[in-house]
Amino acid sequence: MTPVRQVWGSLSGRLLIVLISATLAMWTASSVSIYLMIKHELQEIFDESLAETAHALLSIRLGQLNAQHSPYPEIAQGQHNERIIFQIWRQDGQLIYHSVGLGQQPVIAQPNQRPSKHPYGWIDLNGQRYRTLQVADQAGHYQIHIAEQDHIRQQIFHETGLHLISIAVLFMPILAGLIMILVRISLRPLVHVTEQIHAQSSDALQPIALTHVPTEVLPLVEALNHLLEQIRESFEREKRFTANAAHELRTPLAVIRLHTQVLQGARDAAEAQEAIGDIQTGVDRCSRLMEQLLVLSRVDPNHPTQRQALERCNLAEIAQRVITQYRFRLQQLQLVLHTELADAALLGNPDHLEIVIRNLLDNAIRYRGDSQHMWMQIQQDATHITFRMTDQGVGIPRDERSKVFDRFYRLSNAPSTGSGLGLSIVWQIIQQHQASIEIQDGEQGQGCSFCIRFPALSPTAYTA
Amino acid sequence: MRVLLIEDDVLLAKATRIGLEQAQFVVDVVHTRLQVDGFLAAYEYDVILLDLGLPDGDGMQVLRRLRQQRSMTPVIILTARDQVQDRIEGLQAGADDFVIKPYDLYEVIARVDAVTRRAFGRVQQELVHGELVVNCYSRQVSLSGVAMTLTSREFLILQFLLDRRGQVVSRGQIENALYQYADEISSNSVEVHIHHLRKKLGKTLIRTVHAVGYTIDKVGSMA
Repeated sequence: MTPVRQVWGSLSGRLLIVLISATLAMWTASSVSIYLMIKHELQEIFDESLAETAHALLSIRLGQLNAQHSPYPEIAQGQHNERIIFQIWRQDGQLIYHSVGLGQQPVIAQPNQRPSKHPYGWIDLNGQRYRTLQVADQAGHYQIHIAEQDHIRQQIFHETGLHLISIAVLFMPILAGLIMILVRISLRPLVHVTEQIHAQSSDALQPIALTHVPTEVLPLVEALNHLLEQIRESFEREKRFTANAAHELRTPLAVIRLHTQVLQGARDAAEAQEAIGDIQTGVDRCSRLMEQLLVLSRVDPNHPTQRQALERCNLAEIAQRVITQYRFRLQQLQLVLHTELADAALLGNPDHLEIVIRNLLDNAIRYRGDSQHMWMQIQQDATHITFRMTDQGVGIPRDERSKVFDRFYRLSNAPSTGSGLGLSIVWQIIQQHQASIEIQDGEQGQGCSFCIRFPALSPTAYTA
Repeated sequence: MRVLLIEDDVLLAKATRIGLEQAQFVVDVVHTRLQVDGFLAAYEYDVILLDLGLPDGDGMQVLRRLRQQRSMTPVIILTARDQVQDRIEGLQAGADDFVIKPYDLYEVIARVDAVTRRAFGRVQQELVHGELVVNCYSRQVSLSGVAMTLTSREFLILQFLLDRRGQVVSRGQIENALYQYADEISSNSVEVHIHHLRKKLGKTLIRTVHAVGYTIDKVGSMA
């Protein structure tokens, strides 16, 4: 079972089996039909020559013939296994001549009967099969009954048949070999493609060359190239990201390292205390960066867990949750967060939306400058839900507003203390929610305002 | 020696500054490219430590401008970029050396020492001036084979003058190399240090050039 399946499973095996058996069947059918045709034709030729023999015999001046004076003593005394035997009858039923094999009795037909339209027939005589013919002369005075041994014909038929079979036996292997070679040549482009795929390595993915690719395989190779391109891009992305991440981790690590050395060389207790504090800050930064990297990889649209469906959630509730988390910090820094949170239902991932709000609030606090006020607003109209986080802080220069969502981008107008990932995480989550984000000037033209517009839930979705 | 540290990361700059200060360097820190010019105009620097990844423009631009202005100040690049190409570009643009983040404090100090040594035409850490031998690394001073004890300020002034033998150095130059701009400089503190040095190393070593400053004459040129 298994080897058969193996052969059938391979394209070349399948082609070989189909082609060879089809050829074999065609050959057999044509041989049989040729054999039958030749047999029929030969039968006719033999019958005609039998008729000619009969007519030739009739053209002899039969009037001078009688039983006693045979002009052909060799025929009269012929032997049993003669090829052709015959009787000649006169109109009145008188036998005037007979070959030894046929005797004096009418065997083929009655002598007084006129030959029918189909004068041929078959008889068995002395264990032999004969082809018979009854012919009369034009005047109707004489009839000749003639018989020819059938085994002569049969022998020729057998020889023809044998010949046909021997051709088949001789040429079939050659043909099979040709088919095999042809199949192999036809499938060679597939082997080429396979070799090219084998030659790929994950760090240098090359598209498969489309030259010499047969039309049938072209869509497959093109689809494969498309996939290769996607894989290559995602590899590149990963590589860039890893390089960036490693680069970013170096700075907090350098901070920790330097501060431990500063601690070793500390000139007084206060300096040592400060160094310890800075080491802690460095460690916090490292862990925050790690956390952000993990979040970023989790909200990556290509990440498998992103396939999960978004659920219905209330943005105001999520915002309230974030504000509660930040209450203590806001109090500590003596900051005032003005809120105006309208209930707004949307389809989203509540965990990710919480990250968005937290990152934006965190940024507003981090880059607050000298201001103490910030504003959080959720509004809803017929088509959209708008979330707005506004501050009066250092702001973002206009020409940098499109860049701040890039990973590890740093503002030129503020010393950096963050991971450089917060806003790119926000960006990814916004993409995931089919929302848009825009940076506008902040309150009274100072600071900045992040404005996110989510598509509102349609009325049908409410009932669902 | 006065060092300008151009580094955008606040914590990293702070750590580097304190570390260098512990090693008796005077360090000014700037976080953005915009601040650089002001500091360069206000002070004379022996070394500039430059972070290539400044947020408001590539540190490479700072370096190119510096060299266009024909500044001879040695520049050491601080870079987190591990790309060979960046280092090559930096060196070609006029940097003297580079350190890769996360760097070691002592490595930075050693490299700063190395480039300044070169800038003053020294190849060793030992300065020899007649009977006076000054080791810049171990900070040991000996006169005719007898070890002398100097305070760190005294040592720095001595090294400063020895590195500029034959030149007349003003009090302002010494203050520039010795004091943070936040430090309070009493009007005669340099004079006090010079006074102490003369007491320890002999009156003839440091010569006062009236109304200009101080100098240590080259060996052999003394009468």
